Amino acid sequence: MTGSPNVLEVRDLVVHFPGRHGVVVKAVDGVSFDIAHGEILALVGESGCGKSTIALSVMRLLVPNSGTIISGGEDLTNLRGRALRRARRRMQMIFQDPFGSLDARQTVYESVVEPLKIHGVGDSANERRTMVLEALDFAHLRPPQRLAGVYPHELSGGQRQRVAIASAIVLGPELIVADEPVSMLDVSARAGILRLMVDLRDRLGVSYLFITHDLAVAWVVADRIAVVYLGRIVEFGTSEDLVAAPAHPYTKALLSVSGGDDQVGNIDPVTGQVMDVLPGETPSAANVPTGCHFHPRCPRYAELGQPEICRAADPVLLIMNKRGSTTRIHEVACHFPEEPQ
Amino acid sequence: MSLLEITDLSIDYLTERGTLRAVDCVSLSVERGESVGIAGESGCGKTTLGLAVPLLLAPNATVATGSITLDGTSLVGLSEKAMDPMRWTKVAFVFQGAMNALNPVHRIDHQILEAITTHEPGIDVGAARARVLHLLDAVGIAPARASSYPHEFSGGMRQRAMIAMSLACRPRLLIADEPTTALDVISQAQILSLLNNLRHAEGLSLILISHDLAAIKRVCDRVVVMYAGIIVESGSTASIFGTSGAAPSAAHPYTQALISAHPNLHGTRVLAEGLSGHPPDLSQTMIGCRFADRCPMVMEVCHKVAPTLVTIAPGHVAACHLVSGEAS
Amino acid sequence: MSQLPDVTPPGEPVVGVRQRELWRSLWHDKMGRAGVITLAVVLLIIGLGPVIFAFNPSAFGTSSGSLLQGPSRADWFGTTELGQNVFREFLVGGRISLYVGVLATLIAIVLGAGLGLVSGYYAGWRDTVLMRFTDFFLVLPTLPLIIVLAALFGQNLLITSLVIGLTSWPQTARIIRSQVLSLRERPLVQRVRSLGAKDSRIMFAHILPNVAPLIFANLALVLSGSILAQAALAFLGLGDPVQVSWGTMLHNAFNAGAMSTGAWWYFIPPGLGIVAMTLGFALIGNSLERALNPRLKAQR
Repeated sequence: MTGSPNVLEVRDLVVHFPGRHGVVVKAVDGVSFDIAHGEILALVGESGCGKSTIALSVMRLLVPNSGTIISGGEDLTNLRGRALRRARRRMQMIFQDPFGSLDARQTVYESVVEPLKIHGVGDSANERRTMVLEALDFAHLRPPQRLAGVYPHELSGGQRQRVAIASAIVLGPELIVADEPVSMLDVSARAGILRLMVDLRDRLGVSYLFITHDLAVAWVVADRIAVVYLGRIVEFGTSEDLVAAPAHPYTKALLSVSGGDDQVGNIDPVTGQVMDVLPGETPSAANVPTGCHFHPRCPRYAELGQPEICRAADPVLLIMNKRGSTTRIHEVACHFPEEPQ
Repeated sequence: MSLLEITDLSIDYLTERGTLRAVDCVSLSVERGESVGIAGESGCGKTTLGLAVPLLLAPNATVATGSITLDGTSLVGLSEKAMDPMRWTKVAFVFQGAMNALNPVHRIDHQILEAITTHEPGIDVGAARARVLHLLDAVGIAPARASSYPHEFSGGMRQRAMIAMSLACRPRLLIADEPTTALDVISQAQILSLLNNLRHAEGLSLILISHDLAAIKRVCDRVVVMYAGIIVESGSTASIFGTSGAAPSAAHPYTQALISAHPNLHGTRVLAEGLSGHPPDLSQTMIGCRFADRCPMVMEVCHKVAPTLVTIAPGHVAACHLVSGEAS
Repeated sequence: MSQLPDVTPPGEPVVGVRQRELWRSLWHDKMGRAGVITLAVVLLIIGLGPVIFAFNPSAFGTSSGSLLQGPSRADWFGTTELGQNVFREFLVGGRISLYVGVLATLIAIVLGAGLGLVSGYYAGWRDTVLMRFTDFFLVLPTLPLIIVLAALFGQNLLITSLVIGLTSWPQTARIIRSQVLSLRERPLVQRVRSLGAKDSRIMFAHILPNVAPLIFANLALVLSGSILAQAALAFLGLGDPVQVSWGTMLHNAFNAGAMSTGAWWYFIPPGLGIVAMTLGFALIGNSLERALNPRLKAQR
């Protein structure tokens, strides 16, 4: 819709799953964000943090417990049936597994023409064919005529992912939700797919919600990054700001392990051994700590003598810096954030 | 004498489509206390190479040529009976996804104890139990949790338990195949730190097989880069990947592509070029350089003549016409 | 495709195998090939037999000397106790056995695959309800049911086929349902749903073609079982007495005392026929199932 500057607005999204013995798994515990037209927003976090659940909720493949999802001026949160299917034209999704997300029994052409058939787009088979070939070309699958007749098992992982991307763009969506689109690809194939995604954004103006566990990948591809831990956003800012001056201790830890440094973690003065970046493991979402979700593992919490407030109160995302223009807001949810130098 | 000496090793797989040479004339040595990384992407042969050392190749794989010498003993052609005692005691292997190989119905400490008593039949049970606790402690598993079942552990902890088990009989050489995939990035860092600490504490030699260059950089002294079954470059990790002080001196275009594909958060924020295409079909005969089809710096000669490994600097070799052109 | 053996994602079922590959793996498997050849021979004989040899359908023996005679030039398989040509009976009987088998299998597969597909796709409460419904049919005993129905509606091929079909479909339903349950978790289903596809489209355009190979494998096994079941029922005298199947032949042979008098030409041919047809389909079905399960494949 031309009115709103945002292609997607998510407010206070909550997704809880029933677990065993009456325990509630708080997969997503109050998440809000906007994505502007032509913007790439990355959700970064480790597995189980809720980022994939957020993606599925935005795509309405899951029904959230509460919160709102607005796209194109339309409230998608409670849409069903035909209205929901109509809304799907605007948002498409790319999945992590390039082999599992394509139908092995369909040719590339059949996979890419399917969305057109589902929504009744294109008046003739010829018109649809043109659209499919164009989408394949956009996805750098060349020559499109030859590749259209091929089956997924004859393609490499990178090519299969391109087919998935082609089927996502053939309807001309405004938003693509990409869930770990390159994690299962060989390292050398990743750059090609990432470049393609940025290229499509530049040429077609499509926005992305990019889900990844790799902070370095998010950094090169995304305009803004939201770091997610146990169902909440703990830090939110532009890629450059976040990486140059991380304020949340979790972001700092992620940064130190994703950076490609020679040495990660400090040396224990007593044993001479390299200490772990963060103690312990991420707790399960069924057993979320009270107050700040991160406090049991937080180095700053330990350093500051375990302040009460970290155990008692949920920190809210607060704007840290005011750099004038609203596009460079840097928010962090921490009672003791690291001040920018 | 090196701890492990692999010379001109070639391994063939017999498949429905014919014979496939997964490893082609590879030579590699590991000194005592040294840690060597084998880097490469899927299908390059690194796992096959790793499995060859403890003779754990699949039934349809054969060693076509070459030799493997471990601590003076030649391994190729050994019978199961002769090889079995050496596994776990001289060389241990941590498989990909090993954390899922734990027996779900036995407690962790029991499984490690079993590994010890199976391979050291005469050992005193009390001494064995003490060793189990010591091992678990060394990998960061508290004694209180030693008697847990595998499902009570997270993925990271199960992987630590597997590492503990692999070290149970004090092998000289540990081969770890992608020990950190399927783990969270923080857990990955923890496992790598662990391997580093164990290396220095126990004087262990390590072969780390991984597609993750950052992992190899953190843990290994030397790196061997494989592509389509051959070694394309080999040298110290410090020189090939560079350090905070020095720039990477990788010479082979494939190594360079791999390095640029791992964004450096301290460098400039730029998206790498990446490589188009995919590795060649190993069941077909290959003429010329195997990387020629994808190489951004390909020349005429590359399609006709296969380059051999030449020395670029002390301890640094690469198989590339660009380099041999300069060297000659 | 330049993939090495260790590149395929471990544990992924190779669903989506195309027809040609399925046939090829069937032929390469020794047991599968044996099944195909056996079946081809049997089908050829009973298919072409009546065309090549024109028989008088009800030529009964004219004199007592022609009753229950061993094989001769005129009657290749000898004669029955009524003087009929056993070979002709054998050929016709084969067709009847096959007819019942096919009809029963069609009922079983359509019901079973259809229900398995719907139940597995929707999961949830619909799955629970459908599965309890299936359980009911699972425990239905074939024999008493056919006796009751035969008493009510008479003994004929249709009743037999119906009963066998109704008692065979639960197995198919379970097998198909479990495959569908695993398929629905694949990113493919999520992706197509996110494209806006309706449930019916996903089920019939995506899931059904991907379980089709499994349905074929199961079909062969159900066919094998149905033929055997029909033979058993006919042998017990519950088959159609007019439309003589191989099972009925055995029944008649038994009643005529062929076993005790050693009139082997009467019961060996139908017996072997049943074995051959059943075995043929079973070998094919097993081979197809193995071809579809990569874990079993590794053991070959």
